[in-house]
Amino acid sequence: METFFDQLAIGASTGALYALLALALVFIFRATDIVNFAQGEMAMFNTYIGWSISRPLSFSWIPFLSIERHINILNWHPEVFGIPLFLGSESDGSTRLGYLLIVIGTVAIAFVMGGLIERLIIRPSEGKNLLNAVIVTLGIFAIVNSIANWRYGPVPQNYPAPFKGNAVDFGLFKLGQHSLFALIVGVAMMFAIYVFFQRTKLGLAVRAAALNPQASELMGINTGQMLTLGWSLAAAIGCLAGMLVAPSVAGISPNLMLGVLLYAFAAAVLGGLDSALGAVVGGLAVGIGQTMVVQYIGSEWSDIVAFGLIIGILMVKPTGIFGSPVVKKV
Amino acid sequence: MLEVKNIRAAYGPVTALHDISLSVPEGQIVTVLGANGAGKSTTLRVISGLLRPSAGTVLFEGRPIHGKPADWIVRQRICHVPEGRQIFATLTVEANLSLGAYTRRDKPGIKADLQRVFDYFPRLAERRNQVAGTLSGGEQQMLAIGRALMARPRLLLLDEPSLGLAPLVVRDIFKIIRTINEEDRVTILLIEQDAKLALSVASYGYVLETGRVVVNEPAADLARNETVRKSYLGY
Ligand SMILES: Nc1ncnc2c1ncn2[C@@H]1O[C@H](COP(=O)(O)OP(=O)(O)OP(=O)(O)O)[C@@H](O)[C@H]1O
Ligand SMILES: [Mg+2]
Repeated sequence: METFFDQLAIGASTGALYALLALALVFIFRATDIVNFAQGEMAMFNTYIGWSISRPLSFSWIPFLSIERHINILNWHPEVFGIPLFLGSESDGSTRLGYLLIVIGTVAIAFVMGGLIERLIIRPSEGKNLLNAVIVTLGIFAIVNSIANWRYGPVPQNYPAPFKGNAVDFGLFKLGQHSLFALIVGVAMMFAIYVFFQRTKLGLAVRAAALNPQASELMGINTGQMLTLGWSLAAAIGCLAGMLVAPSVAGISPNLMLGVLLYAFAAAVLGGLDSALGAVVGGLAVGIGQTMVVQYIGSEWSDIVAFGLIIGILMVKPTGIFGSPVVKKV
Repeated sequence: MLEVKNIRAAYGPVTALHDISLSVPEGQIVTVLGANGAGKSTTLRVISGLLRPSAGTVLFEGRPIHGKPADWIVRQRICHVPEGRQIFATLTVEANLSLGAYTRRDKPGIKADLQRVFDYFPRLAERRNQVAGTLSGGEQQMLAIGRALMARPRLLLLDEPSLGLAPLVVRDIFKIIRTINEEDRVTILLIEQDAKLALSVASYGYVLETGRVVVNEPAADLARNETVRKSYLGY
């Protein structure tokens, strides 16, 4: 039987992932005034790329090269902080890249893709009307979802997780190993994001470029580059969230991030779309609230309560809890 | 040091500058005067790379800089303090100042310059952790100038530093502008509505009207020129 505190811990873990995606939404919104509806689908697609990388590798398609023989050399199990670098070899002589390598590779790809999307699609379509760009993100949403359905099919696939063992007992509450891992990674990412924006020169420049592009140019900041960097970071963070979500649901499927994105939106709007702190608090609140509603009222009430509450809050305080009052940029 | 030759510039269909030429010799203060809408700010925007001229050249130490991106021009240590200050309102005073030094890597030099800015403007030192948007107008102007100084400029472009300030504050700011020019040997191109004040610190002056230079003379002559004063400067 799961106790109230178990639920609280699970909610916090889910909430940390909502918070990550909400942070990604907030970055892009602050930098460009665009609400990126494609955030979740970008994350889903990148998570699929991680899944592809995690599949057994076979080199038998390379002519004249029977590399399968030698691949067994990789049958070793180095670890970094207890996380296996390689998940081990298959009996057929192929191998799986280790979890850490998958994460690093996938996040790097997501980073590049996020930047490319900004440069090649968003920037040329921005024009005079902010709505253009929003429609474009909706378009990316639909296209990416369709490609994933066509390429990978609708059936959920297993997704690697580094920790799959029994729940850890903290006395007051128990938490599954993967949920604990997600919570730790989520909190660590938030801390890293905080340090980047508050303590580094580059982070400060990204913020400045979002606040006042023209003044930033006069400081010598290449604001175009900062915008691209913002999208890259948002994509990388979203991708990391996706890779943590996939093992805790049925696995990866094209609809992996649909629900998550909705709740992340709820979190971002609840906290204030332009507030990073709001995204974190909103994410945790939504995650915990959702878990509690599912447990004590019924899962069918999850969406109703969450969004009912959010609509209610927006009617009372349209800027969200931590958002700054709407001052339109000139 | 700076040569602007036959610049033409437009905002979409609106031509703001028809033909502007001016030169700023090293170590001097040169002022640009003129009525509202004459094209003063636009001239600075062309120099600092915020606006591409449609014709003409801008030479800095003999090398063409027109059409180059603004962030490249800052690296040549040409710093523009724009009209209306344009500080980063939600960042602290200190963050604003450190953004001014964005193009620099020399930590000790940056630290020394921060100290120098605080010496010029002790009010900024007292308020270093305050959010810049909550500063008074005068303090914001000090911050805008201080932020530009953090890039250790060789040429400083000042757009109406006295805008909206009490006379006493204006006097202080102009005293500091003079010091920056004399002690730090920063060359200054100054735009000012208060022609009398500007001519008192400048060595040379240009008067613009609807995108053209109509008069250019040593500042002392301009100040004495009755016709110019009556028809363009209004004092
Ligand atoms: N962003 C803009 N878009 C269109 N036209 C502009 C823009 N900025 C300035 N202008 C026009 O260009 C002309 C010159 O403007 P500018 O700002 O250079 O004048 P100014 O001499 O600085 O005036 P002021 O003393 O009022 O600051 C004006 O006619 C103005 O309407
Ligand atoms: Mg002006």
